[in-house]
Amino acid sequence: MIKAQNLSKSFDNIVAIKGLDLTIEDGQVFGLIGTNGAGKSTFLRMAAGILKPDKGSITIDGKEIFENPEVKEDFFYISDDTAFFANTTPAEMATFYQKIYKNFSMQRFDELMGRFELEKNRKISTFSKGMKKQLSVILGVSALTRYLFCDETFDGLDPVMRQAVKSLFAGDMATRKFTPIIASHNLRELEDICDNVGLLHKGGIILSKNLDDAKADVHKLQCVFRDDESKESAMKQLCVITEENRGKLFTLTVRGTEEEIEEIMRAESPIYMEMLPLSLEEIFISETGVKGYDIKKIIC
Amino acid sequence: MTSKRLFVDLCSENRKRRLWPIALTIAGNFFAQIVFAMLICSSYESRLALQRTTIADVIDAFYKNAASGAGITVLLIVIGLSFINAIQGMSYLFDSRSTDLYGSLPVKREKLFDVASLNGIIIFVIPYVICHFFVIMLGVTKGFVPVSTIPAILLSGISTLICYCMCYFTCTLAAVLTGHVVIAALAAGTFATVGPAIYFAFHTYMEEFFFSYSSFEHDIGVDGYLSPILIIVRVVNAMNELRFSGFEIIQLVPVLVALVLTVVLYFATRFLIKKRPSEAAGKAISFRKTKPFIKCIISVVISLYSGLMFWELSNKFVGFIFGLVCGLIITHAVIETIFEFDFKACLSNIDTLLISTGIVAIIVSIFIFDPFKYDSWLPRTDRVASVGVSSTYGVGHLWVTDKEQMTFDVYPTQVFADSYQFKNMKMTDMSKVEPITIDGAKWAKENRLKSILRDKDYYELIDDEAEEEQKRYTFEVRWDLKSGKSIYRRFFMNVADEEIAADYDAIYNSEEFKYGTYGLLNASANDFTSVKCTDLDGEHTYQLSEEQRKEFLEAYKKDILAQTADEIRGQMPTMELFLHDDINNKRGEDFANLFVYPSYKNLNQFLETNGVSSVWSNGGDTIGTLEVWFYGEEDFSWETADKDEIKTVLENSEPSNLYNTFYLNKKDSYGGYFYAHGPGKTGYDPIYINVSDVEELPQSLRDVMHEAYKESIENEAFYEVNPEAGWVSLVSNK
Repeated sequence: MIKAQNLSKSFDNIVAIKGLDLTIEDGQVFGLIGTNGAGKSTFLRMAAGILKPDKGSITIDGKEIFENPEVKEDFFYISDDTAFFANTTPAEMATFYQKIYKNFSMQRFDELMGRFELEKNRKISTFSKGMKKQLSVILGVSALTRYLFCDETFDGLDPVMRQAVKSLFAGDMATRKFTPIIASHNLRELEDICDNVGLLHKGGIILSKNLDDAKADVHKLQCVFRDDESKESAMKQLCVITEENRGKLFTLTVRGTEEEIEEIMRAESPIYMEMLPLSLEEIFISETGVKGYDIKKIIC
Repeated sequence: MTSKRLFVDLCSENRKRRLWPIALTIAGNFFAQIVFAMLICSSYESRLALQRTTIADVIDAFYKNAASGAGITVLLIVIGLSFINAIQGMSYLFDSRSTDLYGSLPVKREKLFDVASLNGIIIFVIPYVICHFFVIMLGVTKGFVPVSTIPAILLSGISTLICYCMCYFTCTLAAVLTGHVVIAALAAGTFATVGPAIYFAFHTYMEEFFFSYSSFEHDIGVDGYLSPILIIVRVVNAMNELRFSGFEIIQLVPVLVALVLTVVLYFATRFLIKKRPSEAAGKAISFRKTKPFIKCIISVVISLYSGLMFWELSNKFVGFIFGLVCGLIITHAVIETIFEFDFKACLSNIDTLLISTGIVAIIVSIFIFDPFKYDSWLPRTDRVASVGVSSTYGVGHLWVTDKEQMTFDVYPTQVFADSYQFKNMKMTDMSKVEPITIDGAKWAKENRLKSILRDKDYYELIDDEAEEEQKRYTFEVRWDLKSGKSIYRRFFMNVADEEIAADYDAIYNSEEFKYGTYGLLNASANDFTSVKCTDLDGEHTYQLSEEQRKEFLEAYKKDILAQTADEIRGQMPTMELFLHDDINNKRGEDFANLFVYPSYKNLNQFLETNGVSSVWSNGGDTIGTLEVWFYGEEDFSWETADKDEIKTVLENSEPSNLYNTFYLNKKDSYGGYFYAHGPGKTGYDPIYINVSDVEELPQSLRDVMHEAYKESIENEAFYEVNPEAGWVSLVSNK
């Protein structure tokens, strides 16, 4: 289990993370989503033992990560701008990692290189950005570590490769203790693969819950009220996150279970009512909109 | 995986990342050692074949330039490659992507540092040792490396490797303290220069602002250890002396200093790399909190030098202040721009600029106003155990080899009279010294501020006072306190004051003064084997037996002890003698010099008895023709074969080495040259002469001099200083 308690980190006068509390359980795909500058990469780098927290702690199974090689053997970190040694080939990188990570499987590496159709003796400097991302994922998975930190790894992959990586993760999770932690802006992709999500905003965590629970907890409701009175009554009873209207047609994002919302609405006998599922993207926009990160403020 | 196995694996992986530095190091050592050795061997062989050198000289030269492994080419690659290997090895600290890669690995930072350090040293050591071996073999086969020098060669080679390590860890420290390769290079350069810069700034300010500051205050050898580069120079000189002087334990001091510094730098850097924030990659400075200190130190030092520079250029005190301010502002702007990589940041962090300004203001105020009374300080006489004095008033340009005093070359050094005095003179009666120092301290206190603000140094003030019939000469003092400490000061004693002059004469006439000044009084017959001198017949060398040498020293001692201050001020020496050791002197240098005065009855008698020339103008009667040359934009000449005229010129001239022994006795003097031809001589022997009495010279000569300097003589300033000047040349006895 990865646990962050009261985690804070600043760079000069810029607060990147402030008082963050987060728990990531083993055996699930954890999606780390957030606004630009929310602190996702900073969190992952602290989790990878690259940055030392200014305050608080981040631990794996209760042990501090920073400058702790024993703990660091349990994870592999893939940064958003992956670095490889100059003038090396994938095989040389694999050889290097094999010496560092005691469980590194060269056989797995060879197999995956074949599946992804990457040449292991070709200079990495000749790879495209997407190929480098693939290579970094292959190296990470071949290290056979408990955790795999991926910082915007999916963003450079084509749709086919994304599916391949997702199935790779799913396969490893089924066969061994493996917990990928993925930071990404591509919420549509995360939605398919993540079990839990953590939503960061301005250095703090807005929500951290199971994805299904997150979806179950927020609904999009389209309705037409009988009259203003019933509308006012319904609004008072519902926990409305966002509200839009076009004439008499209201589109509401409401927190609560489907049954609770239906019950409240039926009591008001609306002319029209329909419950729509929310995507992770809509949950993201709604939740961050509450915090003031509003598209209307950006474009209006 | 065991820790050792991981370390070995990391080392091998790290070496794979260092292919180009390895190639560069191999190439550097190959060319700097093997190719260079082959080239100089070829040169030496051709010079030997043409008999332009001896095998002994070639052996010495080959050792110094190649076999010692510390020749100039090797030193260049030691410094250059240590920098390249260190920066390349630590380059992952400069790039955030690389920092992320290494930072996420399950390896401690110290281990990564140890891996990089070990490889950085190995990749130099192995090629160096191999190439050095080949150079030695080359030397042995050519006969340029005697077997007896092998231990010296090995010790020198090890010393060179220690120097490489010292430079390497200096550069790694620079890399760890910074986050950018260019800034790391600047930091390495700063480490190499800031120590000497601060040291010499301090002593320059002492010299500029304090009348009573003595240069002997900093003659303690510390300056050779203020920077890695200076330490390397000391090490190289010490190792070279292995060849000349044999092994002395003192030669290991600079090597040990280099070794200790290497160890300190290694552990300091290892500690700092643990503390270094990863986010420093790509930034100028790794540790934010060090920024103000670094900025202040550099700003203050540069400002102080800038002030001096502007003072020198403008000759005005206001120029000094301008220079200080300029130095502060410009340095602050440049450093801020470098730190932030943004020109617009040049006037940010004004608070540190103000702090630097405050520090400079305090430092300069201390030097200007002397709140601690440095310039007028005198010790309590009851706290003084003994005193040594040195003055330009009465003692000529004497020097002697001091066997106990080693230079940084680790070889007995020739010391001039003032240094010898300060080391050897220990007078216990201070009753005559005290009035001179009190008068000098009072004068310094009264005049120092006037001097600073009126932009006049102490010599200009002395010239001003000369018009008021004060005559001041330098009088330096070394007090040996009972606490064990020695303190040096310089005063300007007024010899126009009869009491002061009498006190000085009493000091000069004392045995303590003479034994502390004339090194030959403490010499023995074994210190030299021959006496050399030069007169108009040319150079002469007189081999003396041990008995003769004893007699020589005894005669000289009697004359010196009998000599009074009045006598030495009233005479010109007639000859300068050089004592030489032909047997034990490994460097071929003279042991000591002395001047022969007319009042030296015992010495003159000895010289006459043993056929040693005692007058510089001996051989003048064999001169056939006298030529006088005036060189300038247009050359003028004068010539005579008249014996009386030749004799007149010689009688009114003095060679400069004799003329410049003591200032007091000078008549109006003008520079000149003559070239002597004597019987059997084939070349010119130039001697610089001063035409001491122009009025005595032949009128025709004076007419030519006037013509030569007509334009200059019309210039009033020239006329005051040097109304007539001439060049005298003696050619041929035909």
